[in-house]
This record gives sequence, C-alpha cells and structure tokens, in this order.
Amino acid sequence: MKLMPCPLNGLRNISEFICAGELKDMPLTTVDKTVDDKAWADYLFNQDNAAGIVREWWCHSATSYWFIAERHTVTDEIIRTYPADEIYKQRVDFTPPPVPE
Amino acid sequence: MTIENHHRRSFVHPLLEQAGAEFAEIAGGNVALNVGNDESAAADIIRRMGLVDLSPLPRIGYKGVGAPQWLRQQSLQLPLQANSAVTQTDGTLVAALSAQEHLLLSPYTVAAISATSVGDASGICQRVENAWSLDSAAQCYQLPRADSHCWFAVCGSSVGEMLPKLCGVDLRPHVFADNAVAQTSLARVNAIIIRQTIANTAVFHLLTDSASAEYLWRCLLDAMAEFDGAVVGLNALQSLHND
Repeated sequence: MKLMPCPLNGLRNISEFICAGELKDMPLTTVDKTVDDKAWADYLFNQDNAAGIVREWWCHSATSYWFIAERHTVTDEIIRTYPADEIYKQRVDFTPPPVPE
Repeated sequence: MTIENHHRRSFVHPLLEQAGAEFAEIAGGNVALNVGNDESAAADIIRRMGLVDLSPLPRIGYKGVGAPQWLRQQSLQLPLQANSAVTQTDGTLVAALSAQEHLLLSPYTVAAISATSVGDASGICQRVENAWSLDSAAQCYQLPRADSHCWFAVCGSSVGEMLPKLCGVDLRPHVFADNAVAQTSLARVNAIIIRQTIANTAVFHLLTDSASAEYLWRCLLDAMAEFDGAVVGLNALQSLHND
C-alpha cells in the first residue's frame, strides 16, 4: 500500500488524497491589474511535466486539507510534504479590474 | 403533529424505528433511548459491542484563522494540538480538526443533556452558537455540523477488533490514545473518529457526511455481526457513566 505523509494527519493511504497538479507561480499582475492573456493561459493550461523532483498541490480529501508535496516523477518517491503556508504567508486578494467607462 | 412540534429526527430514524426503538425528546431531537432490548441486556451489549445513534444531539463547528482565539473568548478550553480533543467541565467535547478548525459535540449523558433544551443557552453548543454573529465572521465562520454530519458511537471491548475491518488507521490504544482524533476513510467514506474511554469501555465517536448515514450504519452493523454487536440506545451509553 502506498502511503502519503500528510502534514496535518500523518501517514495515510494514498487513496485518501487527490493530486491537483504542479505548483506554479501565478503570473504577476501589471500596474493596471491586468494579466497578459498568453501568460495566464500558460499558467492555467500548460504543465512542465518534468522528469525529476517536482512540487505539487495535494489535498487530503477527508479533511479538505491542501498542502504541497515534493515528489520524484520518475521513481514516484515522495521526498517531503509541508503546509502551504510555508510558501504562501499572506492571503492573496484579487481586485477586479476597473470597469471601462 | 405540526411542523411546530415536530422534533428533529436522526438520519437513521427509519432504521431505528424498524429495530423497535423507543424515542424521547432531548434537546429538540428525537433520541432513541432503548432499542429492542431490556436495560440489563443493553448494558451488557454496550460493554461488548454496541452501536448508538447520537445524531439528534447538538454539535457545531468553527473554522477560520481566528477560530481558536474566538472560542477561547467564549471560555472554552481548547486542545493543545490538532487532531486531539478535550472534554469541558459539562461534558461537551471540543475536537481540534486543524489549528484553525474546531468541532463541538454536546454532552450525551442523559443528565447533562436533559438539563438543556434547544434554544437554552446553558448548553455550550447553543451558547456559542448564540454568541456568533456575522461580526465574528472576520475571525471564524460557523459550520452547521448537526445538519452536515451524522454522529454515531461504537462502544465495547471488541470494537478494537471490528474497526480495522473498515478503517486503515491504527486505532489501538497505545497508538490512538484517549481524546485522539483521526480524520480518515471509514468504509470508504470520509469520517472523523474520536476515542474516549468511559468506565474502562472504549467509545469511538464516528462522524461522517449525513448523506452517507444509512450506508455507514449498515456497514457498521455488518462489521459488528461476527462479534454479536447490536444497536443500543442512549440509556445503555448512559449506563457506562453509572459504573
């Protein structure tokens, strides 16, 4: 049985988890609060699919607890898991762009 | 019967009715006090393996960055770490599901819950629910666990052998001590499991999505069958406290 160390709940059966894909930096917004369409589409739809150690979003479904895992995509070894607040220290607020007059 | 005097029913009320349960109104809910056994037989069953439905009793949750601070302001004693629970002086159980989420389970001894009725602010769950308002939402928000989750208790000396049939987490007492909390998969549904010991009898509180209540109830009965387990009422659980 493959086990995943959840930062909140400890070792659990992998069937209790959902992988939500690669952790990527969100494209920076410009001064007028807009994002380049191409950069945004790249962020949403394209995956690096690297062979080696990657950082991924995982969710423990019994607790809806989201965390980050470092996993080797070739050996499927889980190197480390940690809470998202190790990286994201602040709430990210999205201000809608001003409505054009 | 009108909508005004219709007490809240358990998610497994029809199954309890079929089993010959005798109900009483406690804290606004129809609680099964006895289920098809005389008192002494039920007291024996719960010491061996009994399943009790506590779903009609009050429970509530709070989640948010300021949840621990807000709950302390309500004079609650909180567990020191996530996935553990602490019992308040009136018997209310407070479980920390994470650093920022807490679950409150009302006392389930007949004496304690009879002393409160729904809307009566002397019960901790009701008092805390009354204290919360949208002004508190910046700190934490309220989770209506009485609607979202069913609440069962499995008790007895053989429970430690029965639960591994349904759950992959090691629930043996030296690993999963009293007041430990596990949030995991139980019979393939997400569940919160809390362990207590009352009069040398292990009591596991099981809370799962209310939509899966009947499914889990049947799974538990199926798993209990080889240990001669049976459904008992709240009176049997109460009898443990009288020891």
